[in-house]
Amino acid sequence: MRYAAVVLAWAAMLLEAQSPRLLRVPVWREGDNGEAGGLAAAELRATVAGASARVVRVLGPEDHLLVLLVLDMTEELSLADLAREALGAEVRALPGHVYIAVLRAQDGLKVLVDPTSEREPVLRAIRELPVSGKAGLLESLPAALKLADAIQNRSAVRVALLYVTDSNVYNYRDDYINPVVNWSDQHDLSRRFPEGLIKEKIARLHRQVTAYQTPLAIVHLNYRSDRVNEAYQSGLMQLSASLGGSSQFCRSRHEIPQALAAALTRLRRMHRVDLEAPPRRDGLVQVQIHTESGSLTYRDRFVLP
Amino acid sequence: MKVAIGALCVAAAALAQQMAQQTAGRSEIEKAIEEFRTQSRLLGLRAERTAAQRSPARPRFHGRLFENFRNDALDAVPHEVRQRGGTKSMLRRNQFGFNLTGPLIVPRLYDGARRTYFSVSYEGMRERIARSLLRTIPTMPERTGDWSQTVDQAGNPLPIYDPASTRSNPAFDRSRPVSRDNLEHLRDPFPGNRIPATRLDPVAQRALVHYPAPNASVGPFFRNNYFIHTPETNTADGVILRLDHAPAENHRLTANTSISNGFQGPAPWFPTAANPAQPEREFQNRRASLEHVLTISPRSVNSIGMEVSSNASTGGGSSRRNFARELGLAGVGGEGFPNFRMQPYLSMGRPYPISRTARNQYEWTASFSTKQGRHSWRIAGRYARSQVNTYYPQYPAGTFRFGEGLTSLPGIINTGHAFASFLLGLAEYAELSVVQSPSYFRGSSATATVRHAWELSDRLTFHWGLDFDLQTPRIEKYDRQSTVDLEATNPGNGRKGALIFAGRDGNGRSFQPVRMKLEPSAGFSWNPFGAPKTVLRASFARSYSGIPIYPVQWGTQGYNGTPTYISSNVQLEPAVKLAAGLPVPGRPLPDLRPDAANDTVADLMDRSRRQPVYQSASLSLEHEAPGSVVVTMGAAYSGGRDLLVGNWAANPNAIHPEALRFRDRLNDEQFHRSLRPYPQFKGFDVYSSWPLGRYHRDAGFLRVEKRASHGLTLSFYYEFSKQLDDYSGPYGRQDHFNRRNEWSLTAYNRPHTLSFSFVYELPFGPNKAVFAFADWRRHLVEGWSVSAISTYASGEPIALRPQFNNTGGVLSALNVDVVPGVNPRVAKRGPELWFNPLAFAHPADFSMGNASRTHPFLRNPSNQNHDLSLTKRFAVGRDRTLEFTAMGLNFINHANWEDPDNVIGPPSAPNVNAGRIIGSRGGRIIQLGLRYSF
Repeated sequence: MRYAAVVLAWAAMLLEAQSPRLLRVPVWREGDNGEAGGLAAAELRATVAGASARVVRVLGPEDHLLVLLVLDMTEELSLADLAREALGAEVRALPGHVYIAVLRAQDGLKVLVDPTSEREPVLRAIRELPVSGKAGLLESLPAALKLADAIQNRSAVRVALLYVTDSNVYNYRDDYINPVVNWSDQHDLSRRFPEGLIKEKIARLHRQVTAYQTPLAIVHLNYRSDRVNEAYQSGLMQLSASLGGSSQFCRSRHEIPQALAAALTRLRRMHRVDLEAPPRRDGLVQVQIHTESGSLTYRDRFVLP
Repeated sequence: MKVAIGALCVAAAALAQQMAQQTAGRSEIEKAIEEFRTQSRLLGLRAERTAAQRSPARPRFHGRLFENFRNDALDAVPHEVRQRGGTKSMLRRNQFGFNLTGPLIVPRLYDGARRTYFSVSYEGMRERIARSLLRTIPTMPERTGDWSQTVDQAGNPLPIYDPASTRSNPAFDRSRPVSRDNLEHLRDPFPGNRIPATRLDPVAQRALVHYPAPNASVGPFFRNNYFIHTPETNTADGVILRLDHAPAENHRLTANTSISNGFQGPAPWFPTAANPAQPEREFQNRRASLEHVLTISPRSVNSIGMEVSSNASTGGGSSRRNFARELGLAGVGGEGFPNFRMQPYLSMGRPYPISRTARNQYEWTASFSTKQGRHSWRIAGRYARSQVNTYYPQYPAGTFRFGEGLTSLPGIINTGHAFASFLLGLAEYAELSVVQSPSYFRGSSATATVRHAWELSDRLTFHWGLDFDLQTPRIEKYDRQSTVDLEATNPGNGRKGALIFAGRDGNGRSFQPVRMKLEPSAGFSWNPFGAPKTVLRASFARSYSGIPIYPVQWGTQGYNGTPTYISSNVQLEPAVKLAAGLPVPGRPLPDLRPDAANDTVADLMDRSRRQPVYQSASLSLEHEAPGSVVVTMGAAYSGGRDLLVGNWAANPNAIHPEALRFRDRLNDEQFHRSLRPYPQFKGFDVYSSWPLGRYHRDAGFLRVEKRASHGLTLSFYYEFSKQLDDYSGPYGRQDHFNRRNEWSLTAYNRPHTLSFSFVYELPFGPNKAVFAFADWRRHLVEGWSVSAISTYASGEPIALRPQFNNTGGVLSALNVDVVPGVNPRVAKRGPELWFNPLAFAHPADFSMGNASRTHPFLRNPSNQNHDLSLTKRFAVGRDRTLEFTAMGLNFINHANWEDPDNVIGPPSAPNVNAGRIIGSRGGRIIQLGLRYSF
C-alpha cells in the first residue's frame, strides 16, 4: 500500500510536469464597492516577465471562495472575545458560495473545521477556541500557505488565508526577543537594536512564503508600540503585502469589528486570474495585468519554481 | 530493468489520469474540500493520526549561534582621552552564545513533539574596557609639606597655619563677627608655608606611599592633575532554560530557569591598595518559575504560578591584609585599606571594601480572567516573601575625615587645607564599623487585584481596577534590629530619643506597622465621532510603593557598632591623631543599652504609617492617518508625596537655620550639639527610607509612527516636561524646616527630549524594486537593512554651589546668592563661558544662600547620541541565515560637552573656572556581530 501511494504521488508529479505552469494572481478592481461585476478573461491583457501571457481562467466574486480562517489568539480574553463575536457576525452574513475552514495556529497549526458552507460548525469552532498557549503565526504560516496553494492547484476556486491574531512577539516559543541572560553585564550593546532577531526571522520567512501564491490577510487585534513588536507587526505587514494580501492592526477594541469586516469584504471581492507562465523561466518574475474597464490592484511579483 | 521502470511509469501515469478524470465529475469546491482534507492530513494538521504520519516527522529545531566583537582598533579615540593627549582607549569585548529551541525528545524514553518544547540559551562575555576620569590629587611638593607653590582657586597663595600655634586672641571683640580684623583665635602660618618634616605624621607618610603621583596638568592652578585611564575587567556566563508542556488541550505548564555568574572588576583609580574605586564584585543570579494555565472555558482562564529567585553578590574579599597595622594605625583591626578623606583631593581607601549580600524572593501568584457579555473581569492575587541576607561593613578599617579647619586661620575661609591636616595626622572625624555577624532580614507582601472593563457601547469602553496591598515590615531572623525611638527617654542625657531593640522591652519584632492600602485606577477609551482610526484615551491611577529592604546593615546598631570620634571644634581640636590611633571602644558588643548609639550617627527608621503615594492622570488622542501614519499626542500629569528620601534631603536632627546667628560658636561641637533636637546623637542615618519627598510633573508629548512602507518604518517622539520637587538635590536640602524653599526644578529634569528611529530593509535584490538580479549578484545585493536610533535631550538644570560652607555644620548643603540685576545668561554661550558667574555670589559666612536649589532656567549642555546598525543577511539554504552586523554607537563621533564648573567662589577668591566647560566626552564605538540562525 505504501508503495502504491509513492507511485501515485510520483505519477501525479509526472502529470503536473506535463501541464503548463500557472500563476494564480489575486486581483482586485480598484475602488470596487461590490457593485462592479466580475472581470472577464477576454478583457484582460497580461504579461509575465515582460512577455505576453495567456489568461487561462478568471474566477470572480460570484465564484466559490474558500477562506482558510486561522485563529491565533493567546493574549487578552476580552479582545479575543470581541473578535469572536465580530467574526461570528461576519460569518453569518457571508453568502453561500463562501466556504470557511477553521484552523488554530497557537501551539502549532491544527484543523478545527473542514471547509464548509454551513455556518454553525464554523461559529461553534470560533466560539469555543480557547485563548491560551503560545503564539503560532510565524511558525504556522508556511504550512498554511502550502495547504492553501495545494487547494488552488487542484481546484478552480478562489482560496485565501485569513489570520486573526493578537500575537505578541514576547509570547512565541522560539526566541525572538533576545532576553537578557547576564544581568551583571552592564556594557551589552547587542540589545541596543532589539528587533534584530525578529527582523531576521521575517526575512527568512519572506524568502519562504514568496514561493506561494495564495493571498494572505492578517487582522491583528492589538497593536503594540514597543520596538520589538513594531518590527514584528511591520514584518507581518510586509509578508501580507508581498503575497498580495492586506493587514490591519487594531489600536482599540472598537476597530476590531470593522477590521474583520473589511478583511472579509476584500477577500470576497477578490478575483483569481490564472496566467500561463513562460515555459523556460524560473525564479522571480514580474506580472502585469491590464483591463480597459478600470484600474486593478494585484500581486505583481511571483517566484516560479 | 529500464523497461520495467518505464512500464511502471506509464501505468502510474495512466492510473493518475484515471483518478483525475474521476474527480473531474465533482464540482470544483468539492475538489477543493477533498484536497484540503488530503493535504491537511499529509501535513499532520488533523487530530486523527494517519498512515502517512506513522513514521515520526523529523523534529524541527530552531536556534542561533552568535558572536559580538568589539576592539578599540575599530573605534574612535574618545574625545576625553584625546584631549588629555591619549591616542588609545583599550576596549576588548567578546560576547558569544547560542540558542536552541524545539520539541523535547529523549530517544527511546520520551517524545514530546507537539506537547513539550524546550528552549535553551547560553551567553558568555569577556571584556576589558578603559575608563577615564579627571581628578585632583596632591602635588609632589605638597606631599613633602611644601605648600609654598600652592594657590587657591583664584590663583592666590593658600596659607597653611600651624595648629600647634593656636592661642586665644585677647583682643577678640565678641560683639563683632569673626574676621581677619577680629580673630577669636590666633594661629601662625608655617614659615615659608612649609610644614617641617619633623611634624609630618608617620602614619600619613606611610599611607602616602600608596598615593600615586600626578600625571596631568589640565589645571588651572595644579587642579585636574590626575587622569585615570585604566581598564575594567568583566566576565559573565549565563544560561536560560525554558520548558513548555501541554499535558492536555486545556492545561499548560511552563517552567523557566536562569543561572548567571558574573564578575565585575571596576577600573582601578590607583594602582595600589589605597584604590578608592569600587571593589571587585562577583554576582550569582538564579531564578526558577513554574506556571500552570488552565483554560476553563473559551471565556475563562485560570493561572497559578510560583517563582523563586536569588541574587547574590560578593564584593572585595580578594585581599585580607590588615593595612591599618602595616601603616601603624592603632585601634583598627578590620580588613582593607583605611579610608582617608581629604576634599577636594581623591580619597585613599574606600567604603564597603568587603561585602556579601543575597536577596532571595519567593512569590506565588494566581489569577482568574473571565468575560461575561460586555464585562471582562480579572481577579488576581500575589504573595511574596523576601529574604535579604547581608554582611556589609562600611568602614571595617576605619574612615578618617580631614578638613581644612585645623590648618586654617580659625574662622577665616580659604585658609588651610584638608591635605595639610592629613599630613599632620589630624582628623576632624573618624568612624569604625564593627560588624560581628551578618543580618538576615525578612519581609513579605500580598496584593489582591480586581480589574473590570465594561464595553458601554461600540465606541466607548470604561475600565477600572482596585488593588489591595498589604506589606509586612522588615524583621530580622534573630531579632538583631534596632532603631532610635524619638519618644523614648535617653538615659545618657534625659532627652527624648533612645535606642530600642526588636523583641525586647515590649517591642515587637519589627518597628514599623503593617501597611494596607487601596490603589484605585480608572480610565476609558473612546472612538469619537464613530471614527475607528481615532481613539481618545484617558486614565487615572493612584498607587503606593512599599518600603524596600536594602541589602545593608542599617538598623542594627547595638548588635553592630560604629565607634565614632568627633572633634570638639573642627578648627581647633582633632577628633583623632593618626599617630595615636583610635581609642579602644569602651563597650563590648552587643551593647543593648538605650544609649548605645549616643555620640554616633544613629540609624533611624520612620515608624509612622506614611508610605510613598503616587498619582497620575493622562489624556491622549491617537489618529491613524492615510499612509499608515499614526499620530499620537497627549498630556500627562504625575505627582507624589511621602516619597522616600535619604540623608541628603531628610534630617530629623537638623538645627534650625535661625541658629546661624550664633556664628562661630557653632564650630564648638558641644554648643552645636546642644542646638539639635536630639543632642545625644551626632546625626541620624535614615538610609533612603524617610517618607518626606514631594514632586509634580506635567508633560506633553507627540509621537508619529510610520509603519512599514517599502521596507521603511519610522518613529519620532518628542516630549516636553516640567518637573519640580523638594528633594532631588543634587547636593542636598538647604533648609529642612521650610520645604517650600526647596521647591524647584528636579535636578534631572530635561524639558525637551526627542528620539528618532527607523528600520529600513533596503529595496535591493530579487522581489525588490532595485537591483532585482536573479543571478549570483543577488547574493551581494539582497538582505541589507539599516536601523538607527537618535536621541536628543536638553540639559538638566544647573545647580550652583558655593566654594565654602562656613555655617558651623548647621547647613549640610548651601545654595549660592543671586546678584540682583545681573543677567545670568551670556550673549554667546560656549565652552569658554556657559553662564555668567557674576550673576551669583558666594553667601556670606553663617548665612543661607537665597538662590533656588536648581536654577529655574539655566541648564547644562544638551546631550545627543546617534546609533546606527547595518546588517547583511546571507541565505544559507532554504531556512538558514548567516547575518553580519556592524553597529556604530555614536557613529558620527559626536562629542557632548561636560557640564560647566558650577562652583561660585567668594569675592576674595573667585573660582576662575566658574561657568567654563573644560572638555567633552564621547567617541564612536563599533561592534561587529556574526549570527548563524537555523
